[in-house]
Amino acid sequence: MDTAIEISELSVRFGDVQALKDVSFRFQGKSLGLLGPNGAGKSTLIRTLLGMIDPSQGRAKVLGIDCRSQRIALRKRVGYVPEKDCHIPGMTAADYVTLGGELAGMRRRDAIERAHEMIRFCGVGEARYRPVDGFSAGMKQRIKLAQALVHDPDLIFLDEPTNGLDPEGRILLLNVLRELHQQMGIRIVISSHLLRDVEYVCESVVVVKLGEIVREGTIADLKEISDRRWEMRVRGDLQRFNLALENRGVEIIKSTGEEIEVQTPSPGSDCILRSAEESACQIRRLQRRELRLEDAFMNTMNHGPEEDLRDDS
Amino acid sequence: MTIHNLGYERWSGELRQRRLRWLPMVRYHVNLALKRKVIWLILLLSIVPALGFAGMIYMSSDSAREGSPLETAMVSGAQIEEFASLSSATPTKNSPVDFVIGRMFRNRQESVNRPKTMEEKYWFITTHGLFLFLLWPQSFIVMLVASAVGAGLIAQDIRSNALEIYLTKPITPLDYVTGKLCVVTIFILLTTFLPAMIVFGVAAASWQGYLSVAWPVIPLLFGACLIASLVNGVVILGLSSMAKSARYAAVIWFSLGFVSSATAKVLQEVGNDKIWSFLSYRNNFLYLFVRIFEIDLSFIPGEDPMEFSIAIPISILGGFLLISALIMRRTIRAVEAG
Repeated sequence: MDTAIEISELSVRFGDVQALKDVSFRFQGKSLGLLGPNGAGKSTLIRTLLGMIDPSQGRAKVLGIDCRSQRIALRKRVGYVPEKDCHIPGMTAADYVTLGGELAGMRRRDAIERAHEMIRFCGVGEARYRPVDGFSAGMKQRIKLAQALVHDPDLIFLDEPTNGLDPEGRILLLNVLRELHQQMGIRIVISSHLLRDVEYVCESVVVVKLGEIVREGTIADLKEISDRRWEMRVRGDLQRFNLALENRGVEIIKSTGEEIEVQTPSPGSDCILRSAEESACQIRRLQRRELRLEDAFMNTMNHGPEEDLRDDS
Repeated sequence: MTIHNLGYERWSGELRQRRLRWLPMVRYHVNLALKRKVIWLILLLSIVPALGFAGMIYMSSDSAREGSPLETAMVSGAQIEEFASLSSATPTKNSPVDFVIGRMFRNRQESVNRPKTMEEKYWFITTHGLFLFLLWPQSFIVMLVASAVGAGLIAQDIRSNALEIYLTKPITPLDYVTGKLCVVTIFILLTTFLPAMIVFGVAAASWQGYLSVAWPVIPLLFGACLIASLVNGVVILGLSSMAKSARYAAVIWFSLGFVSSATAKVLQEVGNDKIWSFLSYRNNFLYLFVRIFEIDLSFIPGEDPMEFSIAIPISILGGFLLISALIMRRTIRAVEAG
């Protein structure tokens, strides 16, 4: 599959604030999740990729198109679903989506036909002649998706797409997004705080922290770490046991009394058992720690990049 | 029965390379504006002065047949002083157009320096003078329509975050502003050029030979209306981009129009210096039009002759344009940066 996003040493500065710092990554998959706390630089990254912000350094290409010098060509091939409610006061849903299509370069007749298809696809067909102002949060979210899809883009950027949605609306939207990239081949980049949503839709993630990418890889890669994460209950000389673990390259993640959580340098528990034998400790319980994306994310946020998954992939 | 696929389907059409990428915006916004009753009210209001003028012109054609003093004077090749003397007659004794033209012409023979013959002078007054006399009261309507249409054009986009959507479509910020400006321009032209053309049409139908002599005023008229539309459009869009509220933009707009005029008038009286009149936003348009139509300022009731350089109103209005453009640029950059 060809490269969807290619960024090299990208920096964005707003006055004294360094919003993005030497960001480099390449995304070749179908769906990417951008993770990071508030102010990490996710939205700035998306806006830069859309050509709205000029980078102070470095370059970015989306679908092989330069984000700075070929903005118009780029925006014809991408769609954008912003985080906030976006509508034109007084305009009906049908007109709103049709206008999006016409601005993208579609003929009026094509835009009208396609707008109705997209509104129906996004599940707001019944309300297409109503002004968007009066829509519920879920309907507004779907109409934003419809306007992003109307010109049939090859890639869509979605900024917090499930914000403010009820559980049912959230699942509907996530299923639509899955269908888009799994069956229709439309690539998706989602920026979200809701890690479950990202996990549900995306294959890969990029974790952004303070304007830098601290981890990237597939979700499977991120969760693969759970093969090396163990939690146990130990009796005996814990100090000796911990020392023995450290000598074997085992990282102690958490130690509260007899409860210890560790990460081994390689899959398997051999080094833990040997350390227990060496320190004459009893292991009363030993089990693999199941990691969710939240754990991997929190781990990255708290400890920074523990390993470079880029090398693995 | 046709079976429709309700799932997503890829679109096989081709996206066009448009030069006027902003054109769809204009159509949608004009349609949106025309759905508002207040816009129709202003459009109707804008025609009222023109209908008044048209009525006077129509009646003057009747008067001419009956031997109106002005027409008779013109036909008999009267001297310019005789035209001036007509103005002292009470309007009830003459046709309304005699009164209007006479008033415009009263003691201002020196203002019509360009035309040579008596007939030329008459036509000059009924073309250039007539339309300047018409456009000046229309400036109030321009303030109203610019406010009703333009004050919310960018402000509402900021408030409803539509600006963010526009800026991620294949259009440049300049396309966006051009589209919005076009919307305001269309409505200002509808309230200036259209009424003027109604008057022109009625004059051409009522006065023999008018069309063949007066047609050169049409490009001048269009130019003046276009300048008024573009400058007012850019300024109201600049104000609109300053805030999320259309009301806020409208209040500043009316302050600019009316408070600046009042301030200029007061300072003019206190300082006894005509230069203060340039403080008035609207006066600068008047001074510009006076030069466009090559007519003395004294044609306008309440205005006295004044020597001034055309560079002054151009510079002042240019300053407004520049400031408005900078405000819009700053707003758009801020939205782009998030």
